[in-house]
Amino acid sequence: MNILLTSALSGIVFMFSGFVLKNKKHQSLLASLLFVLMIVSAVFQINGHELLAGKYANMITTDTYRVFFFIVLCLIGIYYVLVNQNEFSRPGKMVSDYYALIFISFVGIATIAVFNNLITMFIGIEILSIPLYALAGAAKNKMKSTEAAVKYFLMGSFSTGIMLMGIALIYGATGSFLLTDITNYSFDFKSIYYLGWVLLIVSFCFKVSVAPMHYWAPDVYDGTPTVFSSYMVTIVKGGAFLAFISVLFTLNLTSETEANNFRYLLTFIILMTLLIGNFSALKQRRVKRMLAYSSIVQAGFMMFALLAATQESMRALIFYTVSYGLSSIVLFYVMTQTINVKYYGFNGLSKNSPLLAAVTSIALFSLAGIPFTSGFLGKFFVLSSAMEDPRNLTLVILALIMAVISVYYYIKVIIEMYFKNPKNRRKIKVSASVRFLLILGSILNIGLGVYPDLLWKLLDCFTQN
Amino acid sequence: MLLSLQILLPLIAGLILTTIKNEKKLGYIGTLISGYLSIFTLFILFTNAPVDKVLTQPWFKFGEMQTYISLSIEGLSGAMVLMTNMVYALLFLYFSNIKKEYSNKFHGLLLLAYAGLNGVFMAQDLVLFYFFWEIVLIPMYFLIGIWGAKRAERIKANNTFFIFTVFGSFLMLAGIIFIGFSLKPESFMLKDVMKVTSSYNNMSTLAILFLIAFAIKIPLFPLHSWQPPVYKASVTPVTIVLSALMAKMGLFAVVNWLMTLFPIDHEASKFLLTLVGFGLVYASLIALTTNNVKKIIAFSSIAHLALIFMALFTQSEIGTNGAYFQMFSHGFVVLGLWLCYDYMHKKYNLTTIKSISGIAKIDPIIAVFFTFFGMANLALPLTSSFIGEFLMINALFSYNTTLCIMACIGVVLAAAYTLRLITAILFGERENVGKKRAKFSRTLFIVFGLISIVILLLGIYPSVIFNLF
Repeated sequence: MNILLTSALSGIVFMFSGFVLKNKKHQSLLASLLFVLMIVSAVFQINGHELLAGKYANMITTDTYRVFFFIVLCLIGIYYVLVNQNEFSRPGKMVSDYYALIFISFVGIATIAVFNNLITMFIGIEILSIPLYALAGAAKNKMKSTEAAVKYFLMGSFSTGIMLMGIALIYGATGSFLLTDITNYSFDFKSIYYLGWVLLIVSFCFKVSVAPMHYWAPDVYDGTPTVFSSYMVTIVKGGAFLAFISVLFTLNLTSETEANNFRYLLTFIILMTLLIGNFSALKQRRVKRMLAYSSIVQAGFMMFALLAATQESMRALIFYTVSYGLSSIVLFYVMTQTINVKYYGFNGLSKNSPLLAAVTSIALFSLAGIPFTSGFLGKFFVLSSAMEDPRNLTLVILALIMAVISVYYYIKVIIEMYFKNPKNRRKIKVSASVRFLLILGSILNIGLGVYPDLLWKLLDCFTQN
Repeated sequence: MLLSLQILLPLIAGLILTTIKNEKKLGYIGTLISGYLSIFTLFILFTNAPVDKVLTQPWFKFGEMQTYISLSIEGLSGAMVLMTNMVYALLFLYFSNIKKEYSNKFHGLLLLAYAGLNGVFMAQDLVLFYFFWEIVLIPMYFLIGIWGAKRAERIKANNTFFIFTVFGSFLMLAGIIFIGFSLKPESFMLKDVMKVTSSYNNMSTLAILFLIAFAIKIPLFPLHSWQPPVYKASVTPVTIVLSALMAKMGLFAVVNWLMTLFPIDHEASKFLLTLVGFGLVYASLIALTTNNVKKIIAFSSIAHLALIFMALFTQSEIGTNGAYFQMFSHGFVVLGLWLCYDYMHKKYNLTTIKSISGIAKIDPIIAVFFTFFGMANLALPLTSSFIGEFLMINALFSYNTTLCIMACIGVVLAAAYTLRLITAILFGERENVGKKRAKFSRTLFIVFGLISIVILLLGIYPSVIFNLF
């Protein structure tokens, strides 16, 4: 209950903060303080000190893994608001409203972190999504932003319908919404039960933007103001994956054929995602759109964690989210500083701002999965967790061959920055605090890539035992 | 803990040099570090000093799999680390003291590659090995892309190089993940991994995954196409690191990982070796017909490495010993050739063998050295290459006569193209090189002299290196 309360409180605080706080810096500081408050409340919740404790008719529960995931998303959130402290005013003037929308969507993530019931989960997913529809259209006088908002809203509502249908069918087969009970279905309704699951998985595919439900993602991520697409591809995607993994791991597959069918379904999704995402990203001329497709690819890699329901794959997912968050936030920040978001915009960046070029390179290498960055270990962990089943070797090899394609379009940015003749010369001013944060992010990225136990040690600090 | 210095010193110096904004040329730092490490390695390997030759520290754990920071400088690793350090020391001595044309960033990136190379040669843990294997690539990528020949050409060559090698590495990564999480050894350490792979019977797929990665780096025949354009497009210090050291990474990995982990199927390896042997003859023929000097040396390098690979796969004691020895010696021979090329390129604008001739008359010292390194390249007795090639061909003969004939054709062709190169550049009518006798600086003399001494010493008294294995 703690995190629900504090995240809702944070949203409310920011709705009214616009009256008092006018300075951008102060707003981002307040935002990070509220994130810290949420983390503290989460720590209390893990250790059993809860406000208004109770089960609320089994609607909510406290699960250490999910609250950990919530804490990690809050930490990424802190990094996100601090790095983008000067960028929130770019899409429009209502900065505090944007913060409020972000915190309200965090209520959704908090709900996802505690749900014990498909209905609560549904509410969580909706609370997570609705503020994003508004954020996507934040740049009101830009056609693309409006287009993104409308597209996102229409497609989002559509997928919500599919999800509800899935939940209804599962309820029909099991007679319960509880996570603990939906594993026992009556045998007469077997087909309904699995149909429900397929619908649920498909709607989740929409939320985490993997094929075949990925088509909205490039337009939305590209059209949304860059600061907010940064939020969408990192934290929101993490939240959606949290919901996905917590629901999917309750799926009870009784027979060998069912387990196989389930594996084929996920394998199909992963392969489609990697194929479509990579080959489409190859064709793009805008870096932002390329990163949108690459976020589809990365989601495809995160799907590997869902192949085997083990402790390791759950950890791998957290690690991947952190690493992807660290890299993407930096990249999207750099895109707000370049003259445009095409490849050409990065031309000569190594001369205009060596620091931005360096952090971009590290972030890109991390996304590409080169060792000594956390991105490599992220890939290593998710692929390893899938290797629990030796039959997945072919899938892993195919995925890594796809990753080679992704290396190609990532290094195109590096070629523009370092190797091409610098044509556009202009000084880029980055404030000292942001510069510090960018360096810190890159160091963390490499630090996690060298010593991944850092993350687990940090999370272990939060529990008493 | 002293072993980790081999990696940490160049790493830290490299990071500092790449990030500071100092206009003063600090290239001598590289010379100091590599010189110190060479002496340090010589000291560890050839005295009975009480220094640990092995280092094992737990690193991270995922699930039940433990990885270790495990370094070793025993056997072939020691020889390879010694070669890396010495080659780097001579390279830095040549480039930082005589030609102050490269910036600090250039030296920094070279040092980063240095750290990675030493890491590859020492790592005894599969994951750690993969880390270093990949990280060498990043500084090399920037070194080729930022410095180097014509822009369009080098960007294309560089892309091919990067994509090729990453492709190979990712295939190997799939193999590593399969070994670690499906076969479940006790840890990722070489000795533990060996236990599970030797008892697992369907090894060929896994072995192929590793082999492709290594073959791309060496490079072996069907996968070599990235190499000549890259050698041509990159500046000489980078070419030296690529041909003298990075190619050895591939061979070393074949010895230390591929051949240790997987039992070699006799029939399959015969097929493979025929392919490699064909590549050897093919590369030698190209070297004989092309006119670009860089390309000649590049293809000659491909041919020599192919021969080493073939000798390794005979698995006889003579063959492997010869191959190990040649891996060590080839580094110095190629270093000498490239440095001579660089000297003549800067001074007389040498690009193709037709561009100049008659250097022997105006610059006799470089002519002597170039001829000497050329003779070492074609394996004249008294040079180190002779010992290696003699042993390797000996082993190949008892393994398979056809392969031996292929190798011998390669050796004959090596004599042909090396002599063609030397006579065309050094002798003949003097063309556009001026008449004045050139001065030869003392530092250059020391560098070339040291390389020649190493080659001669190994040629006369090879047991120095044989004792290491």
